Amino acid sequence: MMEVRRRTFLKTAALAAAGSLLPGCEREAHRLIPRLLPDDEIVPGVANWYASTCGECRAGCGIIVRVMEGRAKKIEGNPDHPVNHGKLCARGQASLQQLYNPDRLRQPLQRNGPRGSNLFTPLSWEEGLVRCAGGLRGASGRPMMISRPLSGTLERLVSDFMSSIGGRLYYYSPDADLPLQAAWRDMAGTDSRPYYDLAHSDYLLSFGAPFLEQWLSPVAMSIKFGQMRQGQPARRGRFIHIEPRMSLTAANADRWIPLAPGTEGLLASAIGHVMLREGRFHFSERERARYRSFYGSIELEDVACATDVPLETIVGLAREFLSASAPLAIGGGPACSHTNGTVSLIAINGLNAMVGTLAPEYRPGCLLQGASYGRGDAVSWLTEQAVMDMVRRGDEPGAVLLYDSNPLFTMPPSVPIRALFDRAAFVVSFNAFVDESTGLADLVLPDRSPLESWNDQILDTATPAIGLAQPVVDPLYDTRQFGDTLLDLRRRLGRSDSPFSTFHDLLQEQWRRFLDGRPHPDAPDWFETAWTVSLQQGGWWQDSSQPLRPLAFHPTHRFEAPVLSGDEQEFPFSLHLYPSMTIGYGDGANRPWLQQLPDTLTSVVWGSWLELNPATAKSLNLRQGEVARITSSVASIDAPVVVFPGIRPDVVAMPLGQGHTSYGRYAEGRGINPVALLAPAVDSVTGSLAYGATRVRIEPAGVTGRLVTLERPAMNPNDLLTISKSERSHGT
Amino acid sequence: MERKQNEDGKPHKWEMVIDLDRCTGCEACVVACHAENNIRISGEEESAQGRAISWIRIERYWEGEYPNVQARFMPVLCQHCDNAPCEPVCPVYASYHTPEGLNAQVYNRCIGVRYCGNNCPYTARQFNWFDPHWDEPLAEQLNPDVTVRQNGIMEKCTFCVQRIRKGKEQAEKEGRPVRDGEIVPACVQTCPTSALVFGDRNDPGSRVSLLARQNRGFHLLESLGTQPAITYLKRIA
Amino acid sequence: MSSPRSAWMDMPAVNRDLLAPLQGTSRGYIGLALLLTALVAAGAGAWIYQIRTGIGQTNLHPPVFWGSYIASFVYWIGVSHSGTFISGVLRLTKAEWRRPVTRIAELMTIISVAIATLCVFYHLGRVWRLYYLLPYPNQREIWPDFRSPLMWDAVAIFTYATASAIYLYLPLIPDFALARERIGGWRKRLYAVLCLGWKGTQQEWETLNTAIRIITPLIVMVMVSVHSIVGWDFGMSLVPGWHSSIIAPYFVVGAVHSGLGMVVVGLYFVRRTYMLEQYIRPEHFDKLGKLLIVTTLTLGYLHFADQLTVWYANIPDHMAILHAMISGAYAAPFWTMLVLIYLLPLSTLVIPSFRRWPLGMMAIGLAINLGMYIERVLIIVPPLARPRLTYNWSSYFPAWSELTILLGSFALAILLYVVAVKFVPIISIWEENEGRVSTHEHE
Ligand SMILES: Nc1nc2c(c(=O)[nH]1)N[C@H]1C(S)=C(S)[C@@H](COP(=O)(O)OP(=O)(O)OC[C@H]3O[C@@H](n4cnc5c(=O)[nH]c(N)nc54)[C@H](O)[C@@H]3O)O[C@H]1N2
Ligand code: SF4
Ligand code: SF4
Ligand code: SF4
Ligand code: SF4
Ligand code: SF4
Repeated sequence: MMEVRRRTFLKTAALAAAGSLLPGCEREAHRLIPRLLPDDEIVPGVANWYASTCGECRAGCGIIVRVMEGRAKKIEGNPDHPVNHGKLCARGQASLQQLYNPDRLRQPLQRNGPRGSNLFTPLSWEEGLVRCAGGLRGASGRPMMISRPLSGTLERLVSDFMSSIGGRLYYYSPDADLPLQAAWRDMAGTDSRPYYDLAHSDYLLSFGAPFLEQWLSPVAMSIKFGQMRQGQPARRGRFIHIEPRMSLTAANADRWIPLAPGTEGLLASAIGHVMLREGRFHFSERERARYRSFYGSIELEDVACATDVPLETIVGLAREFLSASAPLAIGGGPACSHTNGTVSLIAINGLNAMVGTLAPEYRPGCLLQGASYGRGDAVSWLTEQAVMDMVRRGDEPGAVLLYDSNPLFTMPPSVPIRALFDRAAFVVSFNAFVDESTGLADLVLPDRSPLESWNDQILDTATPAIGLAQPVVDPLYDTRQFGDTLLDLRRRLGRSDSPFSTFHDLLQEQWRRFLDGRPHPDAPDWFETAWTVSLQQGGWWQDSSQPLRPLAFHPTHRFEAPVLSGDEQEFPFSLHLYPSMTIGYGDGANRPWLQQLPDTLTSVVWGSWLELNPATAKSLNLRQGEVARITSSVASIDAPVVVFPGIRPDVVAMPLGQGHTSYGRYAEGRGINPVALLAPAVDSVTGSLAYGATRVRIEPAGVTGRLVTLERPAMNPNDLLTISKSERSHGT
Repeated sequence: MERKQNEDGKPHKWEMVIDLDRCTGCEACVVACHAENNIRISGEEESAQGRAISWIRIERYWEGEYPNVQARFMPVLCQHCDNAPCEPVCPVYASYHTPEGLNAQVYNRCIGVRYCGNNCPYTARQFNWFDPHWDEPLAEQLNPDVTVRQNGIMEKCTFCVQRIRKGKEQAEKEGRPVRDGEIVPACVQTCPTSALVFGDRNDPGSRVSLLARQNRGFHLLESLGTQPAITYLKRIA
Repeated sequence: MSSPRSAWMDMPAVNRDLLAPLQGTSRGYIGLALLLTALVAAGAGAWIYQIRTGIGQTNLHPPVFWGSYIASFVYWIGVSHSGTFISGVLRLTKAEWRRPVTRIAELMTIISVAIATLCVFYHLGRVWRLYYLLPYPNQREIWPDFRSPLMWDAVAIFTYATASAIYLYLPLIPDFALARERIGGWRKRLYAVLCLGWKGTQQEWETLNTAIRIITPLIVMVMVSVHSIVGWDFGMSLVPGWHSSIIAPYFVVGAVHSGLGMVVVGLYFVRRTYMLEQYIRPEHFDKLGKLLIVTTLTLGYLHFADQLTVWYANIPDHMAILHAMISGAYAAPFWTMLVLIYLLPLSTLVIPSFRRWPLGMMAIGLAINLGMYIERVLIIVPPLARPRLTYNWSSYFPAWSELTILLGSFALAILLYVVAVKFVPIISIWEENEGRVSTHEHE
């Protein structure tokens, strides 16, 4: 891979020096160079910075990595990058602890005991690949691959591979937000993702969208939020957030409106109803009829009652939205996590359509059409409904291939994903850690860290952009990049006449073709130069925005009420699960920097908790730190209580992400995985899990647990109680 | 210590502005500071004992009661007070003021009497109660520009002094004054909303000077007269 | 036991009685010494463990950076005031009844200053770098920072320890000379050195008395300054609850309060153990009891004045601490402390017959000391546990290792006292004789 010669390097280094690569950021250290540097060019004690792409979430932020003597020391945002403009989130900052994680797999493993016993013995790559090829060849049923959503060259390789062996590729990710995508498709007829121009909005009406947490593209959203607040000349965007629990995003709102769980769509419909009644729109008759049929039949009094939002508030919101100059309504998070998730989002998006925010061309504060989900319909999503259907039908996958996802941890036990693994004759995992799902594998062919790998990714930006990831350090262990493993397997299975033996070559070829289709100089080595530039800047992007197709509002679904599992008398509380702001859905749980990072609202570290409204806690006779037993119709778990002022009294909340039984020393045996409580309820349109559709009952467990908070640590509940009496506040 | 000057011939005066109307409480700054400054990993036990070390933390204050409740976030780090109460009480000069307005900590000199910790009204100072530990190979990440602090020593935010020195050295090498925005502490660098801004307060045109002069500005516990180098900008609403 | 019993049986009664404790060791004495040594060893072991692993063996954490070690330091400095106060002030006021009391008290001073210093060492995060506190010449020309009240403290305590040692030693010279005459064996040589060749000439007596007259007012001033400075360790800070102008006199009076209490306890045990009922009489307890009433009232007044100001001004930072003590997390120790140092002494000591009851007085002495220890902890912990940024509020209770180290140092104090009694006449023999002569003359 180190085929670039010294001469080429010097040329490109000069290029880096001449070009204004990093305006406003002229640190000596920021000499971005492609990691093609021959060893004799490395100066001990002098840091080199390499550009790459963050692999911690799908946002694909651009990073620059400080490397000294072959070791990555610090990761920062790439100032030139169109997604994150030099900024990073907490997880991106902590991604070095994925690279240097003590529990990362160091070589291939094969099962050495009953499935799920987590007993493995190491084996060589040659043996591992032979075994894997054998396992796939011998599979009787159709192999299935469960992978995180992919993009770019890797997506192409994986889907080609799966079709070449007659298998199917399924994407699975707990944060896929399928209702969001489905709603967008339903009303706009495209497969692209919405792109929110928060920065120029002056009135942001958010229905639960956790855009300042781990949602879509957190850094990009945060940057725009900062601009909306203090970056617009003489104008500060107003922000209303509607959600049963005060999330971190809600805490940043000018006004938080707690509403009854699952009624976001209903509230949006009522707002739409008022807008339709009071607004002056220049609709065509057909358009008007469409809005009428969707929003017209609403009874405002009923909505006020069902949503628990006063009528005046509803009317007020509608008027504010109508009178704003750049209003924007966004939905997500809890609004997506009910059985009516997709339809709720359609109702929310319709508000944008009505005021013209859903623009055919760019104007400030609008909703844009973002990047498309790659191959769109060609890929199936492994939704919870799909799993239940497969198991009911008695599908027997000949082999299960698992890549960078952990459905056994993130799907509730009430969804029989495990049965699919149990039925498969052969399970191979390409994950980098022995997590819960990999624990069921017969063979593990561990992937490298993203910081040791090549990759590319189509980015979610207003302008066309592709992120490029390059290895910034030499591999620490005897692992192989997933793409290389697949190419090797394809050869062994005799399914390939491809000339490319490494993923790097394949990726480079893709880029050659891609760049060849753009204007470039006619020099014979034009590609070498262009490739080096791409590596230096961490990808390719254009300044001009891409042409937009005209969008319209023609929903095919109608509003429906949420269905909650569990009898209201027996289970009086609605359970609200949300991804932890630090460890997400659980993939961050093995990074000590994220475990020790306090949840900002509760300040809890290293554990799980249950949030109760102070009045609820009082009526249940539970105090901060005491353990509550949470029981749903399917399971019962214990968790320590956090008395939380920002939650409805009829809702209880828990963060996701803890409770790993297998994911390394920092994650295992810590906290509890609350998905255990979930009934197998799904979104009526997409079939993806409805995280918010389960009712529970709460009782004091009568045992002592452990709740570690950074706010007022080392204090017992009695202290906290007496303190709250004489509480003062220092806010400003 | 040699005094480095800025364009106007005045010594640098490093200050920070924290815009509470931008800060979302995302804590990217907290992890960035850990990564940059070799801050020990605080396990569950340490945290339970109240000994978790962070040089910057986001304090959250609740106001009001449900449903009219509001959460306020306030990033708190060492305020690099011009009139720092932690300095005169240290019997061995381990806590001292640099000519450029930093409150510096000489790890080698500190004997761990912890008076400075009591006298810091911002609870900014943190102590190493034991030797730090990193499970292999996590220590590969450690920043060679920053000392690893051992048992018995006080520590706190340095304004990323290693970056300040690098920036000044580079400017000197190139024979020019330090440019505004050239020196960026790790927390400021990563802050997604740009709530944190750092710069030379003696340069009237620097971003930090412009922002600090806004009428939203205030200092934390201003009445104590500690003259912090950090100006907070009020959250609106 | 080198000298024959008969040799000292013929001495004048006073000399005989008061030198008796220096002779012979009972089984009980050996047992006590062994028990104390074991406790000291446990404390030393805990300290070594703390040094080897880290000061984290305590329960200290931000913002409670100071805890039981500093509380103990303040407490022991307080106890050390017994000696100087009793002998110094009483000598200055020419109180006759002081005579059997001074030596008992002065010994306490020396020992408790030593223990107090140890407590500072326990507290340091890097005690092995202790010498940074000394102004020694070094290449880098770095000196300690004398702006720090801790340096004032170091200087004051050093001065106080030195002065107290001299102050203990001067009146001991004639007694050492007496012991040289009366006690044989290796100790004879020791006393010969210690008495600096005292012959008892008129010239020598005059010099001695002059020296004592000069040092007495000085030591009283040093005493007041030492505890003022210990108070200023707190008062000079910005910490609400510490930053108070009354803190220096409050600390001085508090010190005398606990010191007097400790002297009563010491008197009781010395008197019982060595059957010195003729020398330490109920009237001594009565006098000390009266003094204790004065200190109780004075301390109570200062305490009240301080807290009233806090309460009336109602400044939130300060009120948080008052709340924590009156009705919050620290209510139990706070009210116990009030009972032990004010209510109990006042309600008993005003009864004249109680003051003449040694056992009861001893109990009150113990109560005051327990109460004053709690008071020291309450001065330090609640203000630190309620910092201005309320997000960081916390609480603290000492860890086992802290308690072990402190118990060890307590045992060390008693052990040193018990050993000292074997070397030093516990009542100043010549002063006792002098007192008797002058009483006779006046009769
Ligand atoms: N405990 C311990 N002892 C060690 C070592 C260890 O690891 N541990 N290492 C050993 C080793 S490897 C070494 S090299 C020695 C180093 O020991 P030394 O040679 O004593 O090294 P320095 O402490 O650097 O002191 C050199 C002196 O030279 C002065 N100096 C600097 N520049 C000049 C100059 O241009 N001209 C003149 N005339 N003087 C100048 C400096 O101010 C300084 O006073 O220490 C040895 N001793
Ligand atoms: S949002 Fe955070 S985790 Fe996701 S790519 Fe960006 S920096 Fe990485
Ligand atoms: S990174 Fe910025 S926005 Fe996030 S918590 Fe820190 S200061 Fe606030
Ligand atoms: S904030 Fe605290 S530690 Fe920092 S300079 Fe001020 S007093 Fe010292
Ligand atoms: S802990 Fe260190 S810096 Fe603080 S006062 Fe003590 S010696 Fe000085
Ligand atoms: S300025 Fe540097 S040391 Fe201080 S909090 Fe920010 S990152 Fe940490």
